[in-house]
Amino acid sequence: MITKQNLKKISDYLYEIPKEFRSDMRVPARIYTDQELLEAILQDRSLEQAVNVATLPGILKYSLAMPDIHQGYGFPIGGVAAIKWDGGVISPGGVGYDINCGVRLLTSQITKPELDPKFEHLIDLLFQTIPSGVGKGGKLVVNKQELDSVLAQGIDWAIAKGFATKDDKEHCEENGRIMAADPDKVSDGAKKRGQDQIGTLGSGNHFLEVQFVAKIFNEEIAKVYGLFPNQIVVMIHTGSRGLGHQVCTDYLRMLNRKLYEWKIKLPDRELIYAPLDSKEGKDYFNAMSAAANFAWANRQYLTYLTRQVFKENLKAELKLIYDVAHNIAKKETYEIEGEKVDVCMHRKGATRAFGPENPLIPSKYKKVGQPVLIPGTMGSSSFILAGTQKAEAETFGSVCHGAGRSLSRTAAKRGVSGRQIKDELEKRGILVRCASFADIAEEAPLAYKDVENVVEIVAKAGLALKVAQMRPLGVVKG
Amino acid sequence: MKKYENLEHTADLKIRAFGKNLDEIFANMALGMFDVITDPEAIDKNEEAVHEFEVDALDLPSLLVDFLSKLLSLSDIENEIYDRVVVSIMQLNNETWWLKGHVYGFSVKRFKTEIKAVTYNELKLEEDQEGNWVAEVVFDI
Repeated sequence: MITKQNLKKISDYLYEIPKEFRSDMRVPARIYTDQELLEAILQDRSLEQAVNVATLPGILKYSLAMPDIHQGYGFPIGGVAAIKWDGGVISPGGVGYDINCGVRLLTSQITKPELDPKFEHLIDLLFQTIPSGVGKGGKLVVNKQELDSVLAQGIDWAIAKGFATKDDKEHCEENGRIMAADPDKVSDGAKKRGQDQIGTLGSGNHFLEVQFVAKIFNEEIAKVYGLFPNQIVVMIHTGSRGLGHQVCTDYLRMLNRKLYEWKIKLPDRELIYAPLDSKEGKDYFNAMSAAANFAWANRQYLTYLTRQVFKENLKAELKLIYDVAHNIAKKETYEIEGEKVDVCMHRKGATRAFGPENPLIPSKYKKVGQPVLIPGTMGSSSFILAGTQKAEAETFGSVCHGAGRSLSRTAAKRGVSGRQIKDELEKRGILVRCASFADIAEEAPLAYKDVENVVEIVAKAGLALKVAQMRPLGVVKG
Repeated sequence: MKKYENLEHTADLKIRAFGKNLDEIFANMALGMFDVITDPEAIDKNEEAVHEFEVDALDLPSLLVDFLSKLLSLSDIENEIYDRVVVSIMQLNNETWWLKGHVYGFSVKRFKTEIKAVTYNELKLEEDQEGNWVAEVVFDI
């Protein structure tokens, strides 16, 4: 058990578990949190998982944890690790089962008062149009050959099909396509699961939400991002669906069989890894990249469907501000002790937050840093932040990804029924459309840490700047 | 005897299953898993399903994870749920465990809850002094 006594306070918003805490740690673990949230974090095994991550071969500087950290499998959710590309390892647990689960934000030019009278009709149309719910696929079914194009090309496949514009591509992290993707490294089982799932939300915490800009914190940056008060925006939160889950399962299985051959000693089996220069390590990276491309195609096709609804009913255009991944491993380069080092950047429930002048962000955001999208939970606010150079220096350009669960799904369901939550939200003017009420109860707002707190800590630690706060008007859920 | 029960777990779902022997505990854990994802109103009783499968692994806990993963994947691809599971487990040699089994169930229009994956997290598979088995598996949902 890790207790407060094991933690060294670095600042009001940063705590450290020193390397000496456990003999197998290669680097210290650092947690961005305040005193109050720390109490909640100490309730589960997430800090122990952050310590386990600190044992990975090739890990650089720190095993990092964001304020929304909670217990995951292998890595904590909210965990970040930069691992040397040369001589280091890659761990599927550092990405998670929902590969490239992520968020995108679309902006319109209409305002809340303009939309209000037509809103209920709009949310019903969106619910009819957007395939939600579990399992059953979407309207788009692709054959095997075409699925391989999706996996290899990501958003470029969507451009070729007319579902995306070049402007959309520029406004995705990694330009919506990881070039290392290799469809041949994705199993037939995973492909079968993906064939009818492009353009589907799935269940759990995934959603499509119509929101309005309720508050602007930083007018200059908001202007650069194209945000104004009362503006209607759409947030989409989903990932690579069954295809991604299967890729992770397949490679965990394969690597677990290698445990015996490689004689690896692990503090936790979910933390299994492969050397980046091994065949298995390369294959996983290429398959994971293909699943990430699938997720970008998925969010893009959902965008295409949403745009049709807005265009036909409101004559409104939707512009993509940005699309961020929060479960991913990528090759990134950082300066460490004066030298450029290639790293395998693991972000498990964490968002990239590059600051001004970073060459990898869209040119129009160059002066202010990339937009960082932090979805709230059902019924609560979401935030747009801007990445900083301080984040690049301290956390390999990473911040939190959301609120972070604090109550188990079973406990959440016991507290209140899905129907009650729906009614409560409607009283507050938030319409909910969903396939299953049980699912709503599991995602009850009280099941999560307060997103405003989490965002505040990240801002006070200087990892990101607060730009705007959005409040929900209507949610389409699985 | 109780076949399975759901336990508290922050982000995920944890099921504890019971069995008089290995074959039974594997089957009961699978039933617990399908109980979570089945929406009783979405079952199409006219469309029956049956599948045969084999799984092998280097140790018993891995065999349990791989077996459940296999059924989860099958259910997602075929849009089916299974309410009867029969398995037979054998140790082939010092290094390999093997199982063969059948699942019986129905086509479904949708599922209730999506299970993303069967995890190795806090995985337990133990035999007590009386020869009864208990297993715990965390599912990512």
